[in-house]
Amino acid sequence: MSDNNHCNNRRESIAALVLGELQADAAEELKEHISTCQTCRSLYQDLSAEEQTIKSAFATITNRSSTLQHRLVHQYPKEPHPPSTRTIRLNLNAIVKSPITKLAAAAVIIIAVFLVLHFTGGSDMASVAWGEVTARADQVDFVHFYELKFRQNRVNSSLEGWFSKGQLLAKKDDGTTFLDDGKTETVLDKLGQQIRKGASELGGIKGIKFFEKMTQGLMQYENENLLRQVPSHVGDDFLIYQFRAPKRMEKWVEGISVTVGMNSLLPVQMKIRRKDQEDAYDLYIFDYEEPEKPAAFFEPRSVTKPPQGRAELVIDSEETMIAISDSPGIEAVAIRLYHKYFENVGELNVLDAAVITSEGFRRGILQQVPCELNKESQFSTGTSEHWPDKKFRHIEVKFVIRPTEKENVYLVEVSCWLDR
Amino acid sequence: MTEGSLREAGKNAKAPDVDTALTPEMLVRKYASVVLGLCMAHTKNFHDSEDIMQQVLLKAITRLNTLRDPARVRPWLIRIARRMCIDFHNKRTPLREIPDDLPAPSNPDDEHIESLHRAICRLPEGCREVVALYYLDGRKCASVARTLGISQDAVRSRLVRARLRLHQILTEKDYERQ
Repeated sequence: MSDNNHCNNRRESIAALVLGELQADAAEELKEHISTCQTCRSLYQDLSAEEQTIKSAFATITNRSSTLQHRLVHQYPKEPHPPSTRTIRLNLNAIVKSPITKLAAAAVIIIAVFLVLHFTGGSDMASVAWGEVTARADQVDFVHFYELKFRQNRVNSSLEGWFSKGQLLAKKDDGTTFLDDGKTETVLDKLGQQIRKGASELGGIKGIKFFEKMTQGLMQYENENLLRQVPSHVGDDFLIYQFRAPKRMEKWVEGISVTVGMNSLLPVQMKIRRKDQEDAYDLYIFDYEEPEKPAAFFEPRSVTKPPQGRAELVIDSEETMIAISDSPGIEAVAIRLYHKYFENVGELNVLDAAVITSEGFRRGILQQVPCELNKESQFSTGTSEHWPDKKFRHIEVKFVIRPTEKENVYLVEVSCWLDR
Repeated sequence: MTEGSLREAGKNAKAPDVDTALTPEMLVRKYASVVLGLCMAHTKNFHDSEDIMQQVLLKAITRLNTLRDPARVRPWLIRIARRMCIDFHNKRTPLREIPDDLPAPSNPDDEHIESLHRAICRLPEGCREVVALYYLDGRKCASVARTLGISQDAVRSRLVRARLRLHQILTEKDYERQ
């Protein structure tokens, strides 16, 4: 046995030995001492056992990190992009002159953003194919839009419309109202008198078909090359796709450019440049906010929306990824159900949840939330860190847990969306 | 015995990493662990460390073309990571529905990771990075030294002291649990 002073001096060497950071001869000497000294042996044994625990925790961390790495790697192209310095200019003059101040204001705001933003490029969004946009657009169930027809640098006519699930309500600047319920189209004048009634123009179309219709077929994807097309410009938070007119429209259309929000990958603006008249183009501005105005028209038919994802979960098993459909920006919700013992309360079924965004980020949103069966619970968290544009958004999660016939198996129905 | 007799490891360890053409994939594959180690040393919650790691790599990928000397990728990433950890603390938005005094998550793996992370957070400032990087980057003092731009001896001596302190913290905690 050694005296305590000596053994205290050996503590660092013992730690180095456990870490494998001691020279061979010093290690031999120390091992010899350890075999005869109870104090040092005990420290050596404790540290060695603990070392295994630490290594295994870090191994778990490494495994988790490789899943994240995999996601990140697959999100990006193999090579970095060279920076681009192009700036886009749109015709601001025409909008300032417009008599329709409200519409012009909306357009000016959007266009001003364009003028201010210098395209920094270099983003990996440069490889987002048009097919990805049409896939997203195909999922939208609500669109609010403006149509502005510019002729000789003035707004010749304008229209504001709301489209939802195959139904359309639009109001023209001359007061004409178009109502299309998917079966019948009714046109009313500014006094509310019916001018025309006929078969639906829209025919109950949904998603991308609406955008195709809006552009008189220009947005129709006729071949795969169109779907593979990548943006011609990448801005800070938007992408621009440019298309040539198809042959059948070459006579009157020069081309079309579509501005797409980088986060939502949904069209926010379309500009159809026309050939048939001088200085003529049609500008469409889209947003996807719920409407204030045509509430009566778009009153939801059924009050409860179906859940966006569901899965049967076994309690105390691994985390389950539930894919979320129809929710722009959200990919999946990872949920785990398990038993947890709480002092003074006893054992409860609790739930952990994390949201996986379309950009591939994972955000823990709930931890140990007690589960009440058949009761709808809703939670939200705010973050600005998880989006390429760093804007603050809320993530809302709503879920219901229902029992199944099988013991310890529960049906989890979950909806998740971004509240911008 | 003193530090002088500690093994002079890594003298003939591999040469500093020089990647002439660093692709985003190489960047992620090769340096994700280093970045995560750094983030763990500067955040108190493991979820946050993972979040920041992703942001750091994302930022690095988008700015890869601004990196003039690929041999300087480690210090460059470390700078981004430290900066982002500071920014994160400055502007973090707390989760609304989760109380602050939440008990540790009960997934055994998560518990394991979180309790270790909490212990690492209690280490002195200069030791946290060394410990996290050592265990996440192949347990080699040489590579920690290269990452942090300090000597291997300094790494080894901080590591050994940190390891003993970690032992003290972990055993204190066991004691508290009983």
